[in-house]
Amino acid sequence: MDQKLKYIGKYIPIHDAKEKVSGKIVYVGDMELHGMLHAKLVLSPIAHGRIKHINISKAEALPGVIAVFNYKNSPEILYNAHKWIEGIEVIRDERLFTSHVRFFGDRIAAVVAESKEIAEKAANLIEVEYEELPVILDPEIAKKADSYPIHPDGNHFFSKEIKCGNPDEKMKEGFLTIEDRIETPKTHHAAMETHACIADTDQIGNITVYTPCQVIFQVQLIVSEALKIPRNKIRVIKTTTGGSFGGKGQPILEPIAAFLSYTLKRPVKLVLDRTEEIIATRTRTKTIGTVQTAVDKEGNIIARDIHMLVDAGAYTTNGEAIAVAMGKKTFKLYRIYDQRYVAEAVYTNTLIAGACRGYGSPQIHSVTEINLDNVAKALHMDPVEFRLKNLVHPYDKDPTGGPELGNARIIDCVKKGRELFEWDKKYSRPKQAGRYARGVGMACGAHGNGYFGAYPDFITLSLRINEEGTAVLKGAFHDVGCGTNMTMMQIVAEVLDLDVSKIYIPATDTLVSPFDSAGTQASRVTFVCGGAAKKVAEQVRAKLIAYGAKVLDCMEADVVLEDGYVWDCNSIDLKISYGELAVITQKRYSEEMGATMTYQSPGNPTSYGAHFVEVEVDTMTGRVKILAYLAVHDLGKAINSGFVEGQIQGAVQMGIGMALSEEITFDSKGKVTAGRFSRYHVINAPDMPEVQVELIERLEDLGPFGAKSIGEAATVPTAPAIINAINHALDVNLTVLPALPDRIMDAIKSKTKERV
Amino acid sequence: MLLEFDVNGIKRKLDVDPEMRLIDILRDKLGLKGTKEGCGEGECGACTVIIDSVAVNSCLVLAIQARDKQIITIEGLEKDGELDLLQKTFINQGAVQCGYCTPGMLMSCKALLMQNTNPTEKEIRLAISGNLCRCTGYTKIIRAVREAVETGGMQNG
Amino acid sequence: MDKFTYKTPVTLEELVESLKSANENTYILGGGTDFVIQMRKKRLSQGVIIDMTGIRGLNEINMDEDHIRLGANVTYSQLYNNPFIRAHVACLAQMAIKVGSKQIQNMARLPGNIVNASKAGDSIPVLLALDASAKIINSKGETKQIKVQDIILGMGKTILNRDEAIIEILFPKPTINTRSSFGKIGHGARNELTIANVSLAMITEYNQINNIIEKACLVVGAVAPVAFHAAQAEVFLQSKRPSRLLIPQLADILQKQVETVLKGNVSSKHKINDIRGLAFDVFENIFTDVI
Repeated sequence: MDQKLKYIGKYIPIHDAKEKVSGKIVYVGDMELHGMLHAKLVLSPIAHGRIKHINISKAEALPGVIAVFNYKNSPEILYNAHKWIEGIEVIRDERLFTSHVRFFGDRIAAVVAESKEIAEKAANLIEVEYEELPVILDPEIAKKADSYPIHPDGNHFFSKEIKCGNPDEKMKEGFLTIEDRIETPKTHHAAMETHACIADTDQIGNITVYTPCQVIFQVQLIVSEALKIPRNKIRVIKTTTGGSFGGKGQPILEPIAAFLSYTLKRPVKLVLDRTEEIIATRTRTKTIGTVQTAVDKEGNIIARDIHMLVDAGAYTTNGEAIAVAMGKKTFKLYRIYDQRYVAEAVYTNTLIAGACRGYGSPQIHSVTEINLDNVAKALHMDPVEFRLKNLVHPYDKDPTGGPELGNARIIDCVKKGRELFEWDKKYSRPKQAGRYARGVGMACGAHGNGYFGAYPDFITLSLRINEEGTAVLKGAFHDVGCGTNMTMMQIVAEVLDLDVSKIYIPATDTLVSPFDSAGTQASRVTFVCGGAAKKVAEQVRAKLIAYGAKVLDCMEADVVLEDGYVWDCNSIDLKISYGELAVITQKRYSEEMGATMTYQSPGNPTSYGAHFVEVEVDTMTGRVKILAYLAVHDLGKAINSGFVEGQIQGAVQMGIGMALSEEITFDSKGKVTAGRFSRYHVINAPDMPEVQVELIERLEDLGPFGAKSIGEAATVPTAPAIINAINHALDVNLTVLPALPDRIMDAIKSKTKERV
Repeated sequence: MLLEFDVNGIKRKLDVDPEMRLIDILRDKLGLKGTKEGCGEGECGACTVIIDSVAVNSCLVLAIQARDKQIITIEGLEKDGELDLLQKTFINQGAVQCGYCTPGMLMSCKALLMQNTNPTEKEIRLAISGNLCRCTGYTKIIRAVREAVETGGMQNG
Repeated sequence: MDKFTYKTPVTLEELVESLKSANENTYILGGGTDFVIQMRKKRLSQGVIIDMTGIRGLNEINMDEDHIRLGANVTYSQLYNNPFIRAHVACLAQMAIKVGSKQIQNMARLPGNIVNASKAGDSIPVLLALDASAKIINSKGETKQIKVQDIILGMGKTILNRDEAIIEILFPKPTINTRSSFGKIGHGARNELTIANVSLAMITEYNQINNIIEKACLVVGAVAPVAFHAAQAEVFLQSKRPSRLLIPQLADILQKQVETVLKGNVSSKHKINDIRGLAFDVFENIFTDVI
C-alpha cells in the first residue's frame, strides 16, 4: 500500500473510551443476574499440608448459605489451566478444591450464599485441621533429588536444552569470560480489576460463563475438562477486561464458578478481593539464572552458556512452556553461534506462576543484559559499542533453526537511542562525589510475534458489509484494555476505505465468534489477528470492486472505493454507497458483501527494543529516582500511535516495579507477607518518570501494514536497563531483583569493604 | 438507620446498616457501579469519590459518615449528556486503557482542579499518588489534566 | 445483639451521653480510614460506633495566648492547607502531606494515630516533638489534658479508658525562633505514599542573631513500639552553630541510637541506613538558608 494512510498510524481512542470515562462500562463484577448467588473461596492458611478434618457444619448452618463445596463433594478431575488448545501435552495437577494444600492460598473450599456478605461470613466459619508437611520455598532446594516431594513425581519436573554450535569448545577460546548469577522475583500482575466471573446455568444444563478472559475457547476447554461436560453445553462470553497482563490468561475462577452454577442451577458470581488476587491467581515466574559469556579481545561474543532455574510455584501450569519460551529469545538478539540454553523447572510451596507480560522475556533478558554490561565493563568498553558489535542484523537467521527474525531493526534502535539520549555524553560524565550518585544504563530486548513455529496459530474471521453501509467484523478478539478492537477496526477501515466509526466488532462469545487458536497470548494479536483482519478486508474489498464493476458496468481497474462509496473513475457523478452496492449484489447475484476466512500466521518475526535510563541513587538510603527514560522500539509500524505509546509507558511502569519495588515475599513458613497493596509496592505517579518513546518504523514484510508486536516487548528491556544504570552509578554488581534499598545498601557496603 | 445525602445532585434517603461502607451503598443500593473496588484498603484509589469537594476513598468510609453531605461519583461528572472537560481530555490524550482505574482517577483529578485551577506537574502527581494505574504509566493521565488546565476549562469547577 | 448501633453526637454533651454506656465493643470513629479496615479484618459486627465527625466546633484550628489548638475533627488536609501551620509548624504540615494519599489526608484526623498507638503512625513523632497534649473528655463530662507522650503505652496500648474520647490536640505556640521539619522513609522502595519505616521529627529553637541552636528536639518514629526522643542528638545540637559539618555527626548519633533500639534485629537493618538519610534531609530542610 503506497497511498497515504488514512487510519493506520493515527491515534484514535479505544473503542469504549466514552463508556469508560463515564463509568457506564460494565465489568463482570458490575453485572447482576436475576437470582444470582455469591461465592467466596476458602484458601489455605498454610503452605503445605493435608487436610485431616474439615468441618463445614457451622458455615452450612448460617442462614442464607446455599451450599459449601470442598474436595469431598466436587470433581476429582485433574486439569492444567494453562492448556489453551487441544493437542498440547500438559501435566495435569490442579483440581477445583484440594485436600493436599501446596501453597499459602491453595483452594480448599467455596461457600455459596444469597449475598456476598453471608458468603464471606460463612467462609470464615469453616474449620480445617491440617497435617503439616515440610515447606520448600527455595527453588535450589526443590531441585535436589531428596527434597520433600510436593507432587508425587518429585519437584524437578522439567528440563530442556536448546543449543547451537559448540559452546563448550568455544568457551575455552574466550579472551575473557564473565559469569553472573541473577535472581528475578515473583511478582503480581496488579491489574486493577481483580479476577471475577459469573456462571449461569439454564434448566437443561447449558452453562454460560461471563469472564474477563484472554482466550474464550480456552475457558470453554478447561471448563469442559474440569467438569466433564461437552463443549457445546458451555458458552463463554468475554466481558470488558480491567487489565490482565497475562494474569487472566489461565481460567482460574471459570471452572469453579461453572461448577457451582451447574450444581446449584443458579447464576453464581465469584469476585476476588486484592489479597486473594495476589495469592490465589498467578504470578510472574521467579527465576534464578546463571550465565557465562565469553568474548574475544575485540568484544565479539564467541560463546554463551545460560542456565535458568524456573520456579513454577506449587503447580505446573505453564512451567514447561515458559522455560522453553525464555530460551528461544536468547538466540534472537545477538549473533551468537555457539550457545547453550538449559532450563530446569521445579515446584516450590509458593504461589503459582503463570503467564505475565513478556512470558519469561523480562526474566531472561534481566539475566543476560545485566551480564552483558559486566562483560563490557571487563572489556573497558562502552556497553552500547559492545552491543552494537554483536546485535543481530535484519533478516538474520535463528541459529537454532527457529522462525526467521525478519526485518530486525535492533541496531537502529540502539543507534537512535544513543543519539537521542545523549548516551555518550552521559555515560562518560565524571562521577560526582556526594550523597547522590548518578548513572546511566541501557538494555536491549527481543520478543516474538505469535506461536508460529511452536503451536497452532490461526484465526477465523468473518467480515460483512451491512445493508446500511456499516461493517461488522466477527472474531474472537480479546481486548484486555490495550485497544485490540480499535486496532482491528483501523486495519479494516484502511483496507475498505470506510470510516472507522462504521466498523463494529461484536462481543467475543463462543457462540458468535469464529474459532481462534490462541486468543490474546504470545504477542500474536496485532501480527496474526491483525494480519487476518487485513486479509479478510482485502477479500471484501475485492468483492466490492468486482461487484462494483458489474453494477457500474465498468472495468474493475476503474472502480474507485473511497470513504464508503463506489464509483467508476470515468463517471464520477454516479456514486453508490457500500450499503447500496451490498443490497444490489444480494438482489442481482444472490451474493453477500462479505467474506469468511481462516488465516494462518505466516511467520514469527522478532520485535525489538532498547531502553535508556538515567538514575540517581541516594547512597545513604539506597533509594533510586529515575531521572530520564527513553524507550526505542522496532515494531515495524504503529497501527495506532497513541496505543503504542501508552503500551510502552505502561510496560515501563511494570518493568520499573520488577527492577525496584515489586516482590511477593514469604515468611519462613511460606505465608505471604506482601498480600496487599500497602505491602506490595506498585509504582505510583510521583515515582514514575516521563517515558519518552521513539519508534523505528521499518516495515515488517509479514505484518499487517508492516506491524509487529509491542505490548509485551516493551516491558522486556526495562528492568535490566535500570539495574545497569544503578550498577553504573555505584560501580557495583547488583544481582538480585528487585534492587530494594537494603540490597543496594548491601552492595555499596560490600564494595567499600572490598576496597578497605 | 436512615441516611440522607445528596448524590450527584439528587437528594437520597436510604435505610443503611452502620457497617455498610459508602462504596457498598453506591454500588449495591444506588446502582452506581462506576465506582470500583480495587484493594479495600485505600491504596489503589479505584473507589475514589468526591465528598464535599474533596477526594475520598469510598471503601474506607462508612456510608452513614456521608450523611448530609454532597457526593459526586463518576456518574455525576457528565452534565446533560455532555462529558466533563476532564473526561474529554482523558479520551483525547489516551489516558484510558482498561478503564478500571479511570473513574477513581478522574475523581481525584476533578477534586484537584476544584481546589487548584492551575496545578504544577508535581501537584498532579501527588494528587493521584493514591490512584494506581497498571496500564498507562500515568504519563497520559498527567497530560490529560494538563490539557484540561490549559483549555482553561474549569469553568464548571 | 448482632448489630452495630451508630451514634452521631453533634455536641460535646451528646458525646458525653454516648460515652456513658461505652464498653469494649465501643468504637470511637474519626475519619474511619483505620476503623473500616479493622472492622472488616477482625469481622467486627456488633457494638456501638460513636461518630465524632459531626460534633460542632471540633474542626477548627485555633490559637490562644500560649497554644495552638486543633479540634479532633481537623483533617490532615486542613493542617497542610493552613497557612499558619505551614509557615510556623512546618513539621506538622510536612507530616500531614506525607500521611497516605490525598484521599486519606482528606478523611483522617490526628487522634487516630494516638488512640491506635500505631508504631508507624506518622503523627506520633511530630506530636511528641511538639510536646503536644490531648484534651480528653469522659462519660462524666470531665475533661483532662494529658501529654501525648503519656497516653501511648506501647503498640496498640494507651491509657485511654473506653469512656474517654480525645476532643482536641494542643501544643505550645512556636516562638519566632522555632524551626522544624519532618521526614520519613517508607517501607519498600516507593518515595511517596508509603508506610513509614523510619520517621524523624525535629524542632529547634534557633537564634538567628547569635546563629545558635538554643534547643533541639528530635523524635524518631516507627523504629520502636513507641516513638522516642533521640536524647543524645538533642544534647549534641544544643548551643551549636548550624553547619553542614554538624550533619554527619548528628547522623552518627542517631544511627547509634537506632541501632541500640533495634538490638541487632537483622530484618530492620535498613532502618539504620534510613535514619542517616533522614538526619541529612531534616537538618538541611530546617537550616537550608543558613548553612
